[in-house]
Amino acid sequence: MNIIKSDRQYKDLMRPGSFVGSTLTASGIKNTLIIFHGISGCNIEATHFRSDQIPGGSYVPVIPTGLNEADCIQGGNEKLLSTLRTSINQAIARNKTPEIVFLLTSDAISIVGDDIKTAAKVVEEETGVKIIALDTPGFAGGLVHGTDAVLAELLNKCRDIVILSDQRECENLSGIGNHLDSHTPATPSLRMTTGSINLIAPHLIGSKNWTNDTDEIIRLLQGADIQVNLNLCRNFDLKELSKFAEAKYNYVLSSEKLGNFEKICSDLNSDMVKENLPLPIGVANTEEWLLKFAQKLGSVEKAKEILVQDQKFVQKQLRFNYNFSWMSTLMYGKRCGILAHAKFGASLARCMLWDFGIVPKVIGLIAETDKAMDEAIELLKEIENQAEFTVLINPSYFDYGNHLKQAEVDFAIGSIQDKPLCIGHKIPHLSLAGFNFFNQYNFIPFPNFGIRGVLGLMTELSIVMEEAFYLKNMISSNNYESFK
Amino acid sequence: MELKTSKLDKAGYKWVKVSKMFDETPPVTASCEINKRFPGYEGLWCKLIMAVTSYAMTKNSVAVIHGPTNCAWAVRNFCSTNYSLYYGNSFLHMPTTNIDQNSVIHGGSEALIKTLLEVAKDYKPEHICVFDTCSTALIADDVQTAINIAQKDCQAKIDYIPSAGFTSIPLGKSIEEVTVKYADMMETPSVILENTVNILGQYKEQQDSSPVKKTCSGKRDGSGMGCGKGRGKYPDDASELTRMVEALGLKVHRILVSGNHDYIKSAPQASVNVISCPTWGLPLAEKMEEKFKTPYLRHSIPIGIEATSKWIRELAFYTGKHKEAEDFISKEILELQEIFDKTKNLVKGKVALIECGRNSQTAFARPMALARALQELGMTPYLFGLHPVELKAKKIDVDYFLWDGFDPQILTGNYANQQPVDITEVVKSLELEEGQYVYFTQDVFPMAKAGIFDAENIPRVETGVHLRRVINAPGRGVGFRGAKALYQNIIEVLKFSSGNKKATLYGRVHGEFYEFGRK
Repeated sequence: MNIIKSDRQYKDLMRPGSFVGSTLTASGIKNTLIIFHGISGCNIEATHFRSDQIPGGSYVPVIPTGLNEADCIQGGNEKLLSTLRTSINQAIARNKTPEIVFLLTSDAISIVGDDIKTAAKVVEEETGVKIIALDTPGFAGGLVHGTDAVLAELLNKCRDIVILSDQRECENLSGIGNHLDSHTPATPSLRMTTGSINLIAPHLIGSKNWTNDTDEIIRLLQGADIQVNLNLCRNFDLKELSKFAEAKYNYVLSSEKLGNFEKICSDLNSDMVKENLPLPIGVANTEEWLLKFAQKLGSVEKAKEILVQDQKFVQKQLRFNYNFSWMSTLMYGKRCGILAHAKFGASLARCMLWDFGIVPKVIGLIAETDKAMDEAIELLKEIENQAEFTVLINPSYFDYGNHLKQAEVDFAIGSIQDKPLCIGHKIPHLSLAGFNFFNQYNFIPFPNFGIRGVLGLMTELSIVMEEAFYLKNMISSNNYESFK
Repeated sequence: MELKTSKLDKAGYKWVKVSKMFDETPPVTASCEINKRFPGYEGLWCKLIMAVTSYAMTKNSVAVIHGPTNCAWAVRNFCSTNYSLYYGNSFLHMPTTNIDQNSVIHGGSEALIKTLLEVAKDYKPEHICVFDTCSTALIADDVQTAINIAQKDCQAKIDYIPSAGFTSIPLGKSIEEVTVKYADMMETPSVILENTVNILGQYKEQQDSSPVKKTCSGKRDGSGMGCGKGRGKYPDDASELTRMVEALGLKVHRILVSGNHDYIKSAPQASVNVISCPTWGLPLAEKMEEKFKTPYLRHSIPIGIEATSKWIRELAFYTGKHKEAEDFISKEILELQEIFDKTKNLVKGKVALIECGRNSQTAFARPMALARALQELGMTPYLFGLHPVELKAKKIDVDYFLWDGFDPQILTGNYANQQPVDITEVVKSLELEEGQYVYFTQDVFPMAKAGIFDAENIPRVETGVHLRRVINAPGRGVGFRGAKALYQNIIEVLKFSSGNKKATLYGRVHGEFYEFGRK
C-alpha cells in the first residue's frame, strides 16, 4: 500500500461547506424550517443538497433572507428579522407551526457579523417557536463542521428535554419528586437500554444511496437484536430526542470526529462506538460488521440468522443464473479506481477485492478529520498483502486523474462530480459515492449495503461493465477531452 | 390589460408590455426600493458560479478560486453535473486557495501566490484565471498584486475576473460584468482575416467546428471532432450558426468563450462578430468593438424563419455576401414551408404561455426569441414567471428586442420570495379555456397536475435549454433547423393532448393519481 498525501496549498476535492452539512442535518428533522441567511449561490447549493432527504423522507423548506450586495456590506439584520417573523407567523397561521427553526449563515454574512443569536432570541420570544442560530460559513469548515454544529446545538438547546425525560424516569424509579433544574448536567441514565444505539449523521457515509443504505443498516442491526434508538437525523421526530440518552452507544457511521457533539455526549454519559468497523458493503464487510456489533450489543445467533436469511435471498436470485455468471466472470480481475469518503472508499475497496475480485488500484480517500482518515487506512491494511494499490489522502482531482491513467484502470468509481474527469481520460465511470442529488438515478428504494445490497452493487457494476466492454467504441467517439 | 377573476389580480399582478415592466422596475442598485417592492428577492446562483462557468469551455487552462474549498465545490457541482454531463464540456480543474478562518482574519494573499506557483508547476497550463469569492473580497485581498508577484515566476499567463458572490446579484448584471473581461485577454490584431466570423455568446455547449480545428501557436486549441459530428445527433446552437455562416462562404474564426489562450487572444482578427445568446454575447461584442473596432451583428438568438433570415441578412450586410444569403434563405424556407404552414394552421388563434424559468425566474432572451417565433406562427405570446429585477438587469437584451420591434405582454408583479406564480391563475387571468393555449416551459418542475393541468389536456412544449434535446436540431432551436424542430414539437404535443386522455406519471405524482378518483 503506497500512501500519498499532498503537501500543496491548493485543494480541489469534494468538500461542501459547513452550511451544506448543517442544512443536510437539519432537513432530516420533521416539521422543521430552515432560514438561510446567505447569498443566493450558497442558498441554492444548500437547497439542492437538502433534496437528498426528500426521497422517502420529508420536505423541509429552506427560506432565504434575500440578501443583496448592500446587505452583505452594511449587514442584513433587518431582512433576517423580517424573514424569521414572516416565515414563522405564516406557518402558524396555516396551522403548520414548525417544532424548531434553524437559522444558518454562509460566508459573506458571517464576515459581516450579523447578530443572528439575538435575532433568534427576539423572534423566539415573540413566537414561542424554538430557533437555533448557527454560524456556518464555508471558511469555518465542511460538512462535518456543519453537522457537528447542528447536532451539538440540538442537544444543547434541547438538553432540558433530554435531561427532564431522564430525570422523570429517575423519579418514577426512586419515588422521589424533586424540583428539577433543567441546566443541571445529566446523571447517568437509568433507562439506558442494553443493545441500543443511536445512528449519527447517516448523510456523511459517502454513499449516493445513503438513505436506503441506512435503512438496511437499521434492518440488519435490529435483526441482530440491536435496537436503533434514534437516527440523527433522518425522518427524525424532535419529540424523540427525549430518548437520546436511552441508547448505550452513539454510532457515527462515517467515523468523522464530531467534536462538540461528542463532548456533550460525554457530559450525558452517552458513549461513542469506538471500534473501527467497516461499513457493511458487500458480503465480507457485512459479516464482519454485524457479528462484531452483535457480540458487543446484541445476539450473535440472531445476527447469523438474518445473515443466512439474506444469503438465501441472494442465492435465490443468483445461483445458476447465466447473466450473473457472465458478469461476475467479466468483472473478475479487472482494475478500478475509487474516489470517495474515506470510510466508504476503504470499505468499498475491500468489497471490490474480496467479493468481486476487482483490484482497487487507486483509492482516493476524502475526510475532514484525522479520525476518519486513520480508520480508513487501518481498514485497508487488511488487503495490503492481497493487492498492490495506491492510496491518495484528500487528493486533488488532478492528482487522482493522473494516478488513474498511470494505473491503467478499467473503470473508476466515484460520484457524478468526477465523472467528466474520468470520461476525459476515457475511463468508464460508475457513481456509487457522494450524494443523492443529481447523482442517483435509480429510483428503486433498495440498498447497496448489506448482504441484500450485493444485488444492488451487481446491478450497478454490470452497468459499468457494459459501458467499459460492450460499448467501448461509443466511448472512444464521445466528445469529451482530457485536460491535456 | 386587466386581469380577470384571478388571484393574481388581488396580489397586484398585471399584464403589461415588456418595455413597461422594464421602465417601472427600479434600477438594480436601488436596494431600498427593491427590498420594499420585491420582498424576498434573492437572485439565482452567484457571480462566482457565472464567472467560472464562462471559463468552463476553455482549454489547457486552470481556474484558481481564491476562497474556501466550499466555493470551488459549489462551482464544481454546478459545472460537473450540469455543464459537463449535459453539454459535453471537458473537466475544468479549479483548485482553491483553501481559505479558512485564519485567512479570513489575516488575509489570503500569500496563499494565493503560493497556489498560483504550485498550480503553474503541477498542472502546467497555458492560462490561469483567478476568481475571487465573498470571503476574499470582503477582507479586501489584493488579488492583482498577488498575481503580479506570481506572474514573474509563471510561464502561464494569469488573468483575473472579479467574481465575489455577493456582488451583482441579478444574473444579467453578473454575466455582463464577467463576459467583458475576456476582451482584456485579447490582443489588438495586426491583420484582419477577410470573410471570417466569431460566434459570441456560447457558454455551455462544447462546440467544435471542423473549420475551427486548428492549432494556435503550435498548440492544440482543444477542438474536437467537427461541427455537428462532434455532438453527434444532438448538435448545439453554434453548430447551426456555423452551418449558416459557412453557407454564405464565410469561415468561423473563433467560438467564444472556448479554446486555449491563443485561441481567445487572437479573436479580434475576425472580420465580424455574430451573436448566439445576447446576454452572454452582446456585452463582449460591444467591448470588442470599442477596443478592436470589430463590428457585430445586432440580431441574435435567431429562433424562427423571420428572425433567422434577418440574422443572415445582417451578416451579409457586413460581409457583402448578399446573393449567397438570399440563395440560402430561399432554399431553406422552401424546405420549411410545408411544416411551417401546417403548424401555423394548427396553432391559429392560440395563446402561447411562455414561462421564463419556473423557480429561477431569470430566463429572458430565450423566451423572448421563442415568443417572437411563435408570433410569426400566428400565436399570441404571453410571458410570465420573470422576476422584474432580473429583467432590469438584462437591459442589453431588452434593448435588442425593442430595437427589433418586439414588445410582447408579460406578467408583472412582486413575485414575492421569488416563488413561481400558479399557472392555473395565469390561465384564469387571461380567461382561457382548454384548447386555446399551449404551455411552453423552460426549466425543471414544470407545472403538471393530473386531472387539472397535464400534458394529457394541456399541450406542453419543453424549451428549456438544459432539458431540450431534439434529434438533429440545435437545443435552443436557433436557425432554420431549430425552427423545424420547434414546429415538429408543437405538432406532436398538440396531437398528444388532443387525442390522449391518459395522464403522465409526472402529472399523476403531483396531481390525481388515478382516473377513478377524479371529479
